[in-house]
Amino acid sequence: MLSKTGVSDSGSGSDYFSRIGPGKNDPYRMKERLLEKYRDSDILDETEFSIIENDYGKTLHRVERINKPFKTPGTQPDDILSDLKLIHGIGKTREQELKEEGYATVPELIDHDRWGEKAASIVRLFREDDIQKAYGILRKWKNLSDPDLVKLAGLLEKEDFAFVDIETMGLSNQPIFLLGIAQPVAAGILVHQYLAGDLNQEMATLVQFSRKLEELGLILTYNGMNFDIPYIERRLTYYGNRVKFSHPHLDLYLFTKRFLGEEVQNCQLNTIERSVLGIERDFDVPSRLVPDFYKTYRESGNPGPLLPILAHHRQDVLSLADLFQKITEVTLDGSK
Amino acid sequence: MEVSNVIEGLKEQIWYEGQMEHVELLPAQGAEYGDASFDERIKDFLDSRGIDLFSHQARAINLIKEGRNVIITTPTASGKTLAFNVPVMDRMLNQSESRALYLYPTKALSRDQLQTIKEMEAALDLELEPRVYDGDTPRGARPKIRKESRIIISNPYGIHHYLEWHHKWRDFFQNLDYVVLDEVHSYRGVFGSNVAMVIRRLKRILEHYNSNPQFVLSSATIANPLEHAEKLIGESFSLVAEDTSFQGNKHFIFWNPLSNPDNSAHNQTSKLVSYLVNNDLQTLCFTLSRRMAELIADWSSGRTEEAVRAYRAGYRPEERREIEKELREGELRGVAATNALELGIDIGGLDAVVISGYPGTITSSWQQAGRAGRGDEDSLVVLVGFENPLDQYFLKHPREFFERDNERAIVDTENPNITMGHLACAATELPVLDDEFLGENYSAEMESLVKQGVLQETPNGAMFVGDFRASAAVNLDNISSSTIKVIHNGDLLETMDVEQAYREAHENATLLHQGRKYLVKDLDLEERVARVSWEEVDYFTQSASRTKLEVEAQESVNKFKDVTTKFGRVSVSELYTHFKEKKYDRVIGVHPLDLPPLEFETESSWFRVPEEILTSVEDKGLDPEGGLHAVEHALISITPFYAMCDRWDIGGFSTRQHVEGGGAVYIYDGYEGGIGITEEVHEILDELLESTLELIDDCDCDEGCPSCIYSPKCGNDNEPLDKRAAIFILKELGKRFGYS
Repeated sequence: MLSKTGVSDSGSGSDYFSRIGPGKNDPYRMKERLLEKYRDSDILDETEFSIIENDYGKTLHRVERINKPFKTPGTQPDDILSDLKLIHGIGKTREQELKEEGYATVPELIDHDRWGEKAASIVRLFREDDIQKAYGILRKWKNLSDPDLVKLAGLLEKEDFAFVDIETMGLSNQPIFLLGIAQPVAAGILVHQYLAGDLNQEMATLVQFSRKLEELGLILTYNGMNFDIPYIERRLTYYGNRVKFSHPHLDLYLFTKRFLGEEVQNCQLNTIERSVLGIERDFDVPSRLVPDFYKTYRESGNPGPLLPILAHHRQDVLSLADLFQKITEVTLDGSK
Repeated sequence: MEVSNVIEGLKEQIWYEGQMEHVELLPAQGAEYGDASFDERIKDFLDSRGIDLFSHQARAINLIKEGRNVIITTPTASGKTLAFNVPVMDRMLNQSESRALYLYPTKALSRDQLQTIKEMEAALDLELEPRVYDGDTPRGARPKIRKESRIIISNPYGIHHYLEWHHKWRDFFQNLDYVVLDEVHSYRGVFGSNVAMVIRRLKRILEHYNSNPQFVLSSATIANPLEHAEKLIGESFSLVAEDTSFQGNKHFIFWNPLSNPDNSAHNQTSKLVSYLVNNDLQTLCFTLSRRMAELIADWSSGRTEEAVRAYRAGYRPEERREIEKELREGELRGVAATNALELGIDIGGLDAVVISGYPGTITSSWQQAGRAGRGDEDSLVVLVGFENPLDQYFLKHPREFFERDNERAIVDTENPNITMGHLACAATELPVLDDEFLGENYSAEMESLVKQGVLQETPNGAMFVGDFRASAAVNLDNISSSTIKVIHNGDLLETMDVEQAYREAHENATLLHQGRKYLVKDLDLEERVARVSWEEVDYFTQSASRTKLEVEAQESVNKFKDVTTKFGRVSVSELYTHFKEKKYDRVIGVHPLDLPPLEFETESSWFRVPEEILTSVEDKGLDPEGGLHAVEHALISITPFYAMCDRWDIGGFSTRQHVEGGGAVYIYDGYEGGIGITEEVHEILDELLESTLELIDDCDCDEGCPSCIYSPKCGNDNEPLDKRAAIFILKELGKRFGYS
């Protein structure tokens, strides 16, 4: 399973993670069983994590390639530029009037007396691939679940996508111990997991994760605007690294609520996975016990309790990729 | 009416039988004026209000402008607020990004000061967006305040919680030029020590943002202002203490109700208040309890044409605002209040202050008396002493009162029980880089926290890894956060804390609120609600309690020459046993109460006093119980000299009947779980007892006095106390402990 570069190729997924066994209804008994089973083992033996050292200390990293197809919306700049309301000062009424006058897209307004200059600068942004600035413009006039944002994502190559998810010791200011990025590539999807072997490795782990994230062009999360991204930034600030990620950010929770919300019972990722994406998980650690399981691992060095968390986290980022494709389907179908 | 005429008139009242034991005239003092240098626009503002700066204000302003940290201890109404607002506004006018943080011990004070600042801001044509930022500030409003307000008013409890989110305060902290702390004499004892640690955490974060603001402190008069300021903040200070504002003649009367035994002290207090109000003197009466404030207001109103209202902390903020306003504007002619009105809320000066019962410290007494006096007009203060030995002592020895030093404020930044919690909090704010934490060395405490799994060392410093919220686990003071809501017809009438509810809102208790009587129908301790109905009964109720101490676990012993002292966990319980129904001073009914005891567990150090000693005391015709009780009080007085605490931080208990025979004396920490004070003195109990003996023996008084055996917070009204018995007991113990 291990290739020389340390990237493992898996089929449909988590072979060694599914070695966990039955008893999925009682997390504590599960923990006991895991502790027993992996009693004399350690994290490096049981998983493909390897130790990385950077300027801030040691951290654990693992990358796995999943053979799963991924398609971006594949939009062209002009698909977005048909929305005249991108120009500051043009609202629904004016757009209506201008369209009746024959101006169907923003580029067509470049010669317009009043709107020419503004139209030109917007066209420049989109055609020159200044995705960050383009995102800034869209954010000003659109709400966070507007399909134009999905179209914007489509302007990027799939290798620029970063589906992000984190696992923390609490809900506000406690340490982050696990971060993940799912990055679509030519032959599938790469899942990166950055793990703090102990809490004093948090900073090195955050830095390793941030370095990867800075290489990519678009962040996609589930409730990451409220939780994941500010949380990461806060923990980096705690260590004296004031960082603000300037990537365009699509929070898939907002799209889910708007476009899929009516068909489901609630918008928790688990529910969406089951009802919309058709993904069933095996034994899963309830979120509220994640810190407890990590704590046990930390105190004993026994990797047992950590394995279901790693599996859970891995599935989280993969589900996000699936969810994005579903959302693309639902928002852009027919409106391209 | 002229104050001196009023005093003469008092002597003609039917109920006057020579109660005026002493009249002290504090002579008028002319004002001294001074000049300070600051922005023209502020000078114009002051001129337009007819304000000339007193020399002490000018001096303070100049010192602050020179860049020094300053502590001002001139009395209330001497214009302290202006002394720090002027330099702050001066900076605001001349530096567009400058910020200032004002900290007050209570929310009521915060809001009061906001008004003052807004007035100055408007007059100076500034746009500072001054705002209060505390527990009551809605979440949605907070980001804007942090971003835009150049003056933020808050309190230590808030700062304690906000520091963890300091990155949200970055702009504010980076530009912070002044930190103003008002009423700092309240930051003493364990509470003060906690506040001192919060300040150190704040300073550490300010340093992180390269910020180094000046500190300006304001305080009531205490014996050690410079030491206190330096302990609290950890920097050196300049002191402005001389009051150069003008004062009119202040007639200070010592009133002894015992001269007229037919009228209780409370009754006489209310008669005094009505008399003064009827003679057109705006009067403020300070009482020792919230209930008495209501009763005095109620009784006095019965004899005056003008209303006399009550004022206390449990009222809703809107009610309190209304009363303060009416006082300031002169509309409200009489108020009976608890010491909630002692702190600097602006109510203007009054003509007369009645102090009903010695408030426990000289500092408080002068704070309360300081409310009397309008500009340079004559004013009147009446101190009504109650029957207990402490009050009576002052009545009989007025010189002791007037010449006595104010109390010392004590702060301890070395008690690990206090510091460790703050070190953990600090680790949630920024990794704690080394063992030097702003000038103190806390390496032992840091090691302990690492061992406990609360902190973990990283290459960047120690980080917090506990699975609890650090700031929630550290309580700045002992005030129980559980409040009881008093509900009438579904509406909130007022709030009170649990202890108060047991005492005053038990089932069938009468509850006075703004002159209206309510009867408590039901006290639901689980839901924390007391339901009342409006009933005009003609009596009031008063509950009685019994205190008990029980040893839960002995943890260590200390062997001295022939005696062993013990240390361990105890539970102190107060049980409300019954209540009386009274019409004025007459008891018309007594009923039992069925309430669980109010208990708290703490740590205590105790020793037994053998039966033979107590029998010898009896043989001498002295009172063994009085002797033990006196030893307990004196021991509590002495402890602050050994343990860097405040006498209000510890409690005591003594008994003539110990289970193993003889008697016993216990001292304990006044904090749930203990705070390390008695643990510290347990080791050196022999030294303490020796000093206690010296204290009592050397005291010139005959039967006892506040300097030796009278305690300001004795639950038994300082009865029974026997000075000679105490001396004998301590001398006999000396033989067994190995001292003297």
